[in-house]
Amino acid sequence: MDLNNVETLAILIPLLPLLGAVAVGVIGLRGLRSNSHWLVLIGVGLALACAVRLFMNINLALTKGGSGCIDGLAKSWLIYGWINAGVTWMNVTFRIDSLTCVMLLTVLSVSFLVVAYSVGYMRDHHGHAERGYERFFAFLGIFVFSMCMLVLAGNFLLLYLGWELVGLSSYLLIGFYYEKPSAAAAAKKAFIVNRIGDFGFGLGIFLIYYTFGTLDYKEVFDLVAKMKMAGGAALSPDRVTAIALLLFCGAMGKSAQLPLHVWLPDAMEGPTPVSALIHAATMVTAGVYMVVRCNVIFSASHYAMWIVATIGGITSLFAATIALTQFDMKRILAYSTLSQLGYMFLGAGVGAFDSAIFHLFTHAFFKALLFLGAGSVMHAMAGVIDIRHFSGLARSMKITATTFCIGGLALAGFPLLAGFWSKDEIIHAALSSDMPWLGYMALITAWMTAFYTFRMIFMAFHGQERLPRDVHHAHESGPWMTAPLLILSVGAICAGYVGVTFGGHGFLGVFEPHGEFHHFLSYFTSGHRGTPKHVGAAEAGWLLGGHRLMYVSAAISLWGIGTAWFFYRRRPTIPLAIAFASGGLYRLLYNKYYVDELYDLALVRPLRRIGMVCYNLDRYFINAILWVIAAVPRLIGIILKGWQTGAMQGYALAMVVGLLVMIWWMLVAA
Amino acid sequence: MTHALLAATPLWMPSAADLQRLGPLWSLAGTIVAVLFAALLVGRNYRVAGAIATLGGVFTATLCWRGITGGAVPFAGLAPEAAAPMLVVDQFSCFFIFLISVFLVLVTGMWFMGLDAGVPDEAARRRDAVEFFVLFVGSAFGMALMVSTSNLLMIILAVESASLPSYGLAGFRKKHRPAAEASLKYILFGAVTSAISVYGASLLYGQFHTLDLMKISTAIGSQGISVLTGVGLFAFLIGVAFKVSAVPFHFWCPDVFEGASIEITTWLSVASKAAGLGLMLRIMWLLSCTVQSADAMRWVAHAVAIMAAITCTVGNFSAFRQTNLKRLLAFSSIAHAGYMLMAVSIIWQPRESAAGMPHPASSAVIAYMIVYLLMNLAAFGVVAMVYWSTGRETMDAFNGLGWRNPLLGVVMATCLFSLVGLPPLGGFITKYYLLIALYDASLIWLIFVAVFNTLLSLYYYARIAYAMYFVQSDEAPVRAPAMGQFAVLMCAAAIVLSGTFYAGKLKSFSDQRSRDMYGAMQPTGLRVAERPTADSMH
Repeated sequence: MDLNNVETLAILIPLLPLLGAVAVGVIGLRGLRSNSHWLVLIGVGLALACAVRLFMNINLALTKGGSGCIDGLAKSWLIYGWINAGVTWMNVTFRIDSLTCVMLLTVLSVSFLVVAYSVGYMRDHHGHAERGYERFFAFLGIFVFSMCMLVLAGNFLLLYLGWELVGLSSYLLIGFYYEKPSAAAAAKKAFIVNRIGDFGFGLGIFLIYYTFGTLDYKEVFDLVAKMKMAGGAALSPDRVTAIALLLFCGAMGKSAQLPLHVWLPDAMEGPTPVSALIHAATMVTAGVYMVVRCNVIFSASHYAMWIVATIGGITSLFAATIALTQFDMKRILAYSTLSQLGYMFLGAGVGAFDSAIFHLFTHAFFKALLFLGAGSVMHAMAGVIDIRHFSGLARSMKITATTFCIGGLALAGFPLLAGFWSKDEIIHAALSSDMPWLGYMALITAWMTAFYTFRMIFMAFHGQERLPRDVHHAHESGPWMTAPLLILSVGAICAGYVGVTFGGHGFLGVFEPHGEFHHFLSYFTSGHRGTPKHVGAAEAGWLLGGHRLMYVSAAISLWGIGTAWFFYRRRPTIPLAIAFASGGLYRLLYNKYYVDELYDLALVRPLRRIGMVCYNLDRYFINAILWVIAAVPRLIGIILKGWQTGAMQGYALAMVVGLLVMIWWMLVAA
Repeated sequence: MTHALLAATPLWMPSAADLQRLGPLWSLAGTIVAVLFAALLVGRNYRVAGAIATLGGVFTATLCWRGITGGAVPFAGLAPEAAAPMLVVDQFSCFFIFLISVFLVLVTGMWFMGLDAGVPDEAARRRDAVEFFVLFVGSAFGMALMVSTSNLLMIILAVESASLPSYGLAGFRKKHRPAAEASLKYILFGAVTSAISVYGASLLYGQFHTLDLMKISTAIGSQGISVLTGVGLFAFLIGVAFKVSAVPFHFWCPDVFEGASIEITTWLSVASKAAGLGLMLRIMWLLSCTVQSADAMRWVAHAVAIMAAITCTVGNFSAFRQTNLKRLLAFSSIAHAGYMLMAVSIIWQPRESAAGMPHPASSAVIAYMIVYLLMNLAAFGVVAMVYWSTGRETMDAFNGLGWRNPLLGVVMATCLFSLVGLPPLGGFITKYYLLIALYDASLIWLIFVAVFNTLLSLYYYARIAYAMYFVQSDEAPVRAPAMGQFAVLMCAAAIVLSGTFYAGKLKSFSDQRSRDMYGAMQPTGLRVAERPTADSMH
């Protein structure tokens, strides 16, 4: 086995977590029990090592022979022929390029840390493993495998397969506490809402096959580029728009964008590591990955890009407003995830694909950190996560509080931390696009983000120490949990610097946006990318000049944090007063715009009614027909059973009659 | 008549090479002798008897496999140069003998497993093992003869030598009333049908002055089928129809299957049917081997098609209300014989596919036979293990089997759905080949009958699956021998694989086996001669 070989590495990456998961699934319950985590941890760890190695190889190839040409650097090859039906060939192909590398590194490093964290989290205070411990790790392994398959896929069919597989693992993990009705319902909701999006995604893939006759990435993208060059006759713009929008349907489901966002907050019913890994850092970003992967298709349709950007921008603001009023730490984080995903789509929609991936990359670290921190709090508070029930935890849980604060700062876009750089880029891109209003919206969202993040931090960690009734004293979590927190907080501080260049001028301007990260990615995105939109658009006015945006967004972030401090530390009566004063608006936000209720009224109930009608039709009408049909053979069976009397005379008679009939047949025929 | 026979067969000694080609038959006959001699030499030891039977089976299977894969000598006629052969060992018969001897080994294994797993009459079994294995291998020998001859007299002899030991086997549990009754019924049936069969053969001989099917066929081609010929043919075929339990000659089957001990039921349900169908296929093929005779045989073949349709339908309908699993599977085996007879009924049609391809009907039967063997072995194996554990063979013994022994449940479910013919199992793909063959022969009505019957069969097979998984039972878990569980699991795996990854391989294997059903000796001007010979194909 040649570990320098890119192909070997790429096969090992999904294989190792899968092997770990299968091994745990087979011998976990009987043999390993509370040691089940080792196999998955090792599998994911080795896969991470392989991904690092892969990245080094690719990076070396880039720096050595780096031309801008996409094909020189992307490698896609056949793993095995899957379906061969005449003219239709479906193969399992992998594709490695810089985008794949970035995704693999993000997914695997967060996965590794989350798996390690789960070792501590999935135990009680005495260190005994929870029920279903081995099942949990087997599912995690399956998830990592699926996510790697999704990322490594070299054609749309395999992408779809990975897409569904991560959906499945998400379903399994949300419903991990399946005895809890709310968890089972949340799992079902996630699956069904995702299916709605995937329906469109599937249609999009069919349309791709129908239009281009192939599902291979390279072939499809080349064809699109070629047809775009050839002009309108070769490829109708409506067709491309339809493909792009159908694909985006899938992305809306998976990445929980408006109006398919309803499943993600409910998905927090799963264990917290799952929320961190799947519903914040990795799986939900699959939609962003897919849009960026298909940037050729999307950027061929102006209309589709407009939709992507608008949906992203609106979701971002919408989710942030809801987060302002929530009290459940995990739900606040879930809405903030929605909001950040909205940012990513906004970036992709205005053509800044590399900025979207950059934000995906940094977001993975600080959001995973925040979730894990929330998990640590939840673990210490015996499952209570409502910030009205505890406060002042910073004294007893120093590491958790510090790391959570770092994550919060990164999320709030505090200057020099990871979120600051990537978010700024997206806002910059939006402002300089032809839809600058989205950029202004994003700035408002940024303020809200800073506010609700620190509202949560101040309420939970500061002030007098208050604990829920069943908890006698708060205590810091064990090393299995704190170590990943510490490592991730390093990521939350530093991850942004791969995307900036040192050596600008001015106070904050020492760092120029667009660094190594973008350079690395540019080999992927520049191949088919038209002129970058974020170059000189007049509408946004003076904000774009110099480094003004950077100062402005830093100020907004500080302003948001300051407001939170003022509201919740200095004058805790103000928020209540505002809530009372705004009345209806507050209730609207607190109840998440009543979207769930609206869906229940507009979709669920009518569907259930139709279902009841069909059920009764089936039960009383179709079943009756079937019963009659089924009764006939049963009757014949009874008659024939009667023939088999056991009396030889009857048998002999039947035989003779049979022979006579045959002879008669002979006479008639001949 | 005696005079004519003597004149046709002067004193003659076959060459060593000819004798060598008959290896599989020698080997089976030798096994019988060895079992008897071993009893003389080392005493009545059931282990020795079983071991010899197993070794004999393995050796025969090896010889056959060499005959199958060697391919260089597809045919050996044991006869003086000029005369028609009495015995034919070609790829086709090698395949069937292979199937029979492999099955012999597997059923022997089942017999041994039953000893340790709690068969009721264990002591008697050990004591009478020598007789048992003599009869057992004897019936296998008879079946091997059935598939390797094309001579009326030899056919009758072969059927008899397969039947006589089977009668004994069916009633081997002497103290068991149903077994004795089954044996007696079997004998009576066998006697009547073989009498009719011999009568038919004599009619044919009287008319054509030959016992060789090929010559009869030529004569039929030139003279057409008279009423006398028709009566003779039908009467003769009844002997074979009895062996494959075609309706209305099937009545023995449920009673015997229920009365006999389960190994014997398993054995008869597969081996006896395999031999009978192989023979039927060869007879029908040889009788229609010239263009004229094929035309004349059309009506006979239609009668067979109708018989197949009736067999299938009656088998499936009768299975509906059965609660005894052995009896249910007996009816199911009748139904499956019906499916295979459908293929037999189209073998007279000239093949119109590309040169070098065998008749689709015969390869469909062979493929069907392979999967049928696996399905029945595993299904009966599960029934046997449940019986050994609970002492019952009725449907209620299967209640909740899916939870009382998950492995047996899964295996049984696989077998049942394969018996129905659901994808992606072997039963589906072989039934598909069969239907395709029927379609090529444009017997559309027969396809409808087959599909309708498949639908019917789903009901009673699914009923067992329902009992296994949806009926609650608080009975103790079913304990089964590990080897037995492993064996049925392998069968189930093979069923799945033959329907998926190895479906193509199964097809090409059965094509290969059915390529030279007739062997080398074809009179010139026959339809056979238009086909590429075996040598040119290799």
